[in-house]
Order: sequence, then C-alpha cells, then structure tokens
Amino acid sequence: MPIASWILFPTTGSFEQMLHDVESIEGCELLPDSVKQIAVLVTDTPDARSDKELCDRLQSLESVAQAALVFAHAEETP
Amino acid sequence: MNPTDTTRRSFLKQMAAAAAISTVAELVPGAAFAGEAKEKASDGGLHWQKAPCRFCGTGCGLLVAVEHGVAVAVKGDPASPVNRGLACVKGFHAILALYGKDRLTNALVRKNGKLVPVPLKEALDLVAAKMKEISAKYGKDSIAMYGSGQWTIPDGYVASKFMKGCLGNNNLEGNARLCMSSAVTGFMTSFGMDEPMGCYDDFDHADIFVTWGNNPAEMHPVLFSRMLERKQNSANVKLIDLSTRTTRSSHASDKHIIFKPNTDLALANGIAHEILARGWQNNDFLAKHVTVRKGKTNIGYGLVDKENFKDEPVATTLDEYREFLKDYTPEKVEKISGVSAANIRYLASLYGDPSKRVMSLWCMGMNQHVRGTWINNLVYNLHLLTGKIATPGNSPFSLTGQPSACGTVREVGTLAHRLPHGVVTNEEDRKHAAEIWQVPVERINPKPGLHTVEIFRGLDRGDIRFLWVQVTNPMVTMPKLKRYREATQKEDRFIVVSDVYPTPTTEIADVVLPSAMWIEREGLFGNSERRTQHWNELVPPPGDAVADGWQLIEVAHRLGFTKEFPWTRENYNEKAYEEYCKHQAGKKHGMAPIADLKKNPGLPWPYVNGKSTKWRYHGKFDPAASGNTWDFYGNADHRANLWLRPYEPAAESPDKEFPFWLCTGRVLEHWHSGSMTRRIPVLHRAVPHAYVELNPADAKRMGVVDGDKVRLTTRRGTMVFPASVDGRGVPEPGQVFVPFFDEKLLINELTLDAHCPISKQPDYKKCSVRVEKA
Repeated sequence: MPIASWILFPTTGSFEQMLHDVESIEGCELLPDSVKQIAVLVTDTPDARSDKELCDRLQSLESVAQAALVFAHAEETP
Repeated sequence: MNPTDTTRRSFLKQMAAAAAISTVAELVPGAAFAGEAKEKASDGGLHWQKAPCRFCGTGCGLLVAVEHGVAVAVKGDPASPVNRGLACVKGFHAILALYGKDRLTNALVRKNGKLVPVPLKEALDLVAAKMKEISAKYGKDSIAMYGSGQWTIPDGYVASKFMKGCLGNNNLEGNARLCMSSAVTGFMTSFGMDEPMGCYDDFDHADIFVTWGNNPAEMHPVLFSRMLERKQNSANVKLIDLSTRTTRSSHASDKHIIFKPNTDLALANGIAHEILARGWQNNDFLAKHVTVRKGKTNIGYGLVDKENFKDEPVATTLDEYREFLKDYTPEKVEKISGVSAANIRYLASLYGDPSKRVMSLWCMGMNQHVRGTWINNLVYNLHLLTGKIATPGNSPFSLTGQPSACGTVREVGTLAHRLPHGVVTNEEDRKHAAEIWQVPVERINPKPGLHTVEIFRGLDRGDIRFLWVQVTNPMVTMPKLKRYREATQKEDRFIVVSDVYPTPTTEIADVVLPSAMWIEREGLFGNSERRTQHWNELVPPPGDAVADGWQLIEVAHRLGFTKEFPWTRENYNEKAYEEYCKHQAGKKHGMAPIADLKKNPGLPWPYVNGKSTKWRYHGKFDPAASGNTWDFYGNADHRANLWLRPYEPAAESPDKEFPFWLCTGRVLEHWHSGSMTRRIPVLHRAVPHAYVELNPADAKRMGVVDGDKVRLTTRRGTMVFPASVDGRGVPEPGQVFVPFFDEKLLINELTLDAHCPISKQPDYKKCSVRVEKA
C-alpha cells in the first residue's frame, strides 16, 4: 500500500491546468502554492501496480513539466 | 481496514507531505503553502505529549502525538536539555515498535508442550501457585527474578520490595549486570557512591573528548552529535578515539588510536606513568582529596561455578604508586598494547595540560571486560591525578546502554546485593528499608543473592527452580548460551516471562505474560546523567497486556502481601515512586517529586530545595559537599580512591587452534536483542541480519569477499555468518566482530561467560575463535 509525495512543476502557464489534471486522478491529494506556481502531491494507492500506473499517468500529463519524487513508503513487516 | 490502519496511513501521509514541503522550502525560497497545508505538514493539528525515548540510556526527550488512541507521530522534544529536539533513527521510529503485528496480547500457558492462550487471571494464579509450591519444596532461595534497565523505576521498585521486603529473597537481578555492573563497582571502589559526578552539560565545556573502547556515533548518536557540535563551535576541541576496531566514531575523530584487546589497562597506566614522570599531576588536589589504594591481583575470571571473589583493599602511598608504574613506561606499554610510545605521551599531554578540560567516555568496551572494575578505576585515576573531575567539562563519564539502567537497576535495589538505599549486608541499610517498607527487619536477608551468571548456573545445577524474567531477553543475551538455554529445559524448572513480543526467551517459558509497553502505561526512567523523567499513559495497552509492575503486585497480592502493596492499577506508579523517594531522601540522592517531574523534561538527582545538582562532589555545585572545594563524601575519609591495578590478560586469548579474537556488540539501527527494532520495517530493512566483520587483509588471505559465508568456531560451538568486508566497522587483522541483535544468528552461542570477579559482569568483547571460509 504505497504512499508517496512529489513536487510538481507545471509547464509554463499551465499551473491551473496541472491542478485540474492531477485532481482528477484517484489517490491524489494536492497542496498547491499559487504564488510560486508549484504543488506538493501526496499519493496513496492500494498496491504497487496502481502506484506504477499513477506514476506513469503523472509523467504523461502535458501540464506537468517535472514530477520530483521526495518520499515513498511501502508497507512491509519482517 | 481497521481504525489503526487509517490513522497510521494518515500519519504516513502527513510525513510524506512534510518531507515534500520541507524540500520545497529549500528549493524555492519564499514558497508558501496554505495555512491548512502547512499545519497538516507540520503537526496535523496533533496534540503532543512528552515521554523519554524507550531505547538507549541517553534519555532523549520525545514528543508523541496520539489520535484515536493510537500513537501516530513522534519527534525530538526541543525543551529537553538532553537532545534539544534531536532524535536518532531509533527514536524517530520509536512508536512503530508498539505496533508489530505479533504483539503479545494474551497470557500463554504451556500445556502438553505448547503455549496456549489463557485468561490473564488464570496465568497469574498459576504463577503465584508455582512460586508457593516451589518455595515450599526447594526453599525460598530457589526462586529468582531477572529484570533489566528497561524496567521503569516504579516497576523495579515493586520487584525490589516484593523479592527483598516480602519474600526475603535477594536472588533479584537486572540485565544491567551484563552491561553496567563494572561501572557500578568502578564508581563504588573509587568514590563510594554510584553514578557519574558530571552531567551532559560537560559536552558544552570540554576541550578534549577521549572515548575508551566506545562507539558513540552508533550507540549514543545524539550525545556524539553534541561532541561534534562542540568541536564545530570551538577550534581547539579534539576527539580522540581509543579502540580495538575502526568504527564510525573513529572516522569522525581527530585521532584514532588502536590498542590490542584487554590492554587498555596497560594503556591507562602508561598515561598515568607519563603524567607523573613529567610532573603534570595536580599535587594540591592529590594531597587534599585522594587516597591511594591497592587490592588483590591475579583474581581469576569467574569461570568456575560458585566462585566468590572478595577484594581486600589496603591503603598505600603515592610513592608506591610511582614504583608500581615503573612497569608501565610508554616503551613497555607499547610492547603490550601496540600503541606507540609517542601516542601514549600525546594522550598524557592532553590529560596533563592544566588548560584543557577533559571528558573521558566509555560504555561496554570498558564494562564488558574481565577487569571491568579495574579499567574503570584506572580511567578515574587519570582524572584524579590531574584534578580534572567534578567541574564543568572535566568529567569521567560512564554511558549507559538502557533507558533506566541507572534510574532503576542501580538505584531501586534490583541487583542481588542492593537495597533501594544501600546494601543488604549493612544492618543500618536493612533497618532503613524495613522501616519504609513496614516489614520486620529480620525478613530482609543479609546475604547477597546470586548474580546473573550464577542465577542461570543455579538453574542448571538445580539451586534455582523458579525464574521470572521481565523486560529482557536472556536467551539472546546470555554468554555461553547453550548451557543456560538447556538449563531452562531441565526437569522441575518453572520459567515465567513477561514481554511484549515473542522472543527466544518466551520460547522456553512455561507462562508468558503480555506486558504493556512504554507509553501504554505511566512510568519513570532514569538516564546516564541521573535525570529522572516521567511520562503518562498515552495509549491503551493491547488486549490483556498490563504493566510489568502491576503483574508483580497481582502475584504479591495472591501470596498475601496486600498490606505491602495497598495500591491500585491506576495509582501504583505514583505511589511506588513516592515511597521510593523516602529511601533516597537527603542532599546526596534526593529525588525530584513527581509533581515537578510532570512539569519538566526530566530532573537530575540529587534534587535539593527544588534544584537539580549538576556536578556532585564539589561545594560550588553540590549542596551535599562541604566547603567550596571537592568533597568525595561517598567515602568515609571524604577522599576519592586512586588504585594500583595492573594489566592482566583476557580469560581466553587467541592460540593455534583458535587464532582470532571475537568481539560482539551493537549496531546503530538495532537496540539490544532486536526484539523491538527488528519489528520496525525501516530499521529491519537497513540491517536485516547479523554478519561477521573481517579485516580486508584477513578476508583477502582467506579468499573471502563481502557476503561470502564464514564459519566461526569457538570452544562453545560453530556458526556460519555472512561476511562484511570493509563495512561500517573494520576490525584489526586477527580480529572479527559480530553484532548480537539477531535472534536467528545468536552469536552468544559462541561467547564465553568469563567475567570480572569484582563486578561479575561478563566479557562479551574477548574470546578466541577460528575463522574459515564456509
């Protein structure tokens, strides 16, 4: 059950569009900074496959210039 | 998904957001998130409450946040003078230790060879019945209890009162015997009172830090960061690492000096020789505040059952001390220790320079030592020769490995010879305890009980028939483990284990009692610098789990000791602590009242007139000391003892058959036997199993590369470990190191139970071993 956080940088002039595009993806929670035109994204997905799909979708958005992964955690008990 | 999972995921998401927002703050100056987001990222509107860390003896203050009865976040407490908001990797993950999926939540009783769940009441009834039955059949001294420095102060106090005041039985020990008793006997023989004279403020004053066989970068990382901070802020500060192995501490030090195992005794005497030869001693201090003493030599290694060594100290003179030190010229010590004469002179110049304040620090390297008491004495000698003691920055400082090794085991009477104040052999001390306990003084046995190794040997011989283990894991930590594990399985032995997770010790139990852990109950710990810290119950314990001290009281009640424990489950922590304070009342060891502890991030004792004493034995700082100078009031002559103690070799040294030294110890990520930290996924993944560190030259000669299997054989057995070559620790050629946290690779199957005959503390750092590629 992976949890991750990202910093999202929009393509020029696409900040609002980026927020709209990302908000429509399930498992995404956005913390935007409208002054600096960047956003922190926290993702919560049920399994590794969903997480991979979400990452692929994020990277494919035209409104997103760069998605930088900061934190990732996947549950596992020894 | 249960509520715990939801809250835990919320917490993880908050942490994820916090990490990203912190990164943005670095990358994009001026970035500002909405107030809600910032709050969510910073603390999620959480309510934080204080608790000392559950792990090592540093005693870091933590803040824990709770939501819906679950601990969801932890951080260092900025108000704590110990760690000033910092925490190490274990502290930052401390709350996860509460939520391993195999927590013990039910009592278990062995039926037809299997541990099966039973109601807690049934298990406690059985424990009480067995204590009664075995005591009647084999005598009261066939009962023993074994706890640890993880006992809270109230729980250890209850154990002490129950065993010594109610049952008249002194077979009560804590696993501090395995890690701190040489420090205790070192303090007692040098100063007549236990525990450091200084405090952590010394880190802010010292110019020179000398670590003796100690790796604080991994074992006490927050304190090591204070040394590094001091160094960063002052150009003349130096860190000197004296050790037998290269560690992370060595790399961060200004000078790293390697000595051969057990030769720290010679090294300390060599430094003392040079101080006197150069006239760097403080003659005024020596004349007014020091008595020179000597004791027996060739004192053995405690390898024989029931060996009962007693030292016979006699006073001697400084002239005789000078004569004795002629065997320890730098050149002679170089031959014994491998440390160059130039480095011995360099070390003497640091201790001997009157303009430099010196802090010596040690932990297991000096304590787990067949001459542990002696090497403690010899390092004190260096501070006594130069008068660098008990003033800010001049501080011989014995660090502890457990959260309440000092506060509980060393102070409330859970060692076989101790009472909460004083010792069982002293009639006045027995009367003092009996009066507070309101028990007949005759009930307190004047004969010390069995020390830890002898309790387990007694279990093997049949002298001990009932053993109750709480808050420790001896089936991982005892040396020469095979003998003691097999002892527990002998006929007519009954073992009770109170713990929070299944361990190799619960595996050998007849009854397992589920314990409430850390913030699942109220408690108090006492750390390395005499600081007492209180915390409240912050989350409910799972299932039938209940505090260890309350388990003891339940059994005591069943045995008829209701008058001695007229407390409830809700108030016993406070009542037991208040009663314990009566034992220590006075300027020398007065404890802070619980009301003051609740308001503060810990208060060191002696606590006199609402104020903690930072430096003992000096009139400027210590209300118990007379005059405006040093007063070592622990000794009858008000002087500290400077000891003549020779170098003697280890119990077992490498030979043709077993040509390597074997040393054991800890790693940063795992605490003690690993039963908690191995259940914290991030720590487990960081160091998932034990390994054997080899010197690269030895590895090359044997054709071993990192990860290869290596067979270790001692006179106790054979085991195979993966090799670590050029890892975080690098032993010297002819030496290997193995961490002991891994219950699947129990290195203590191979270690020896030789111990210091004075402190009875085993030496886990030195035995001989054969090393082969497997």
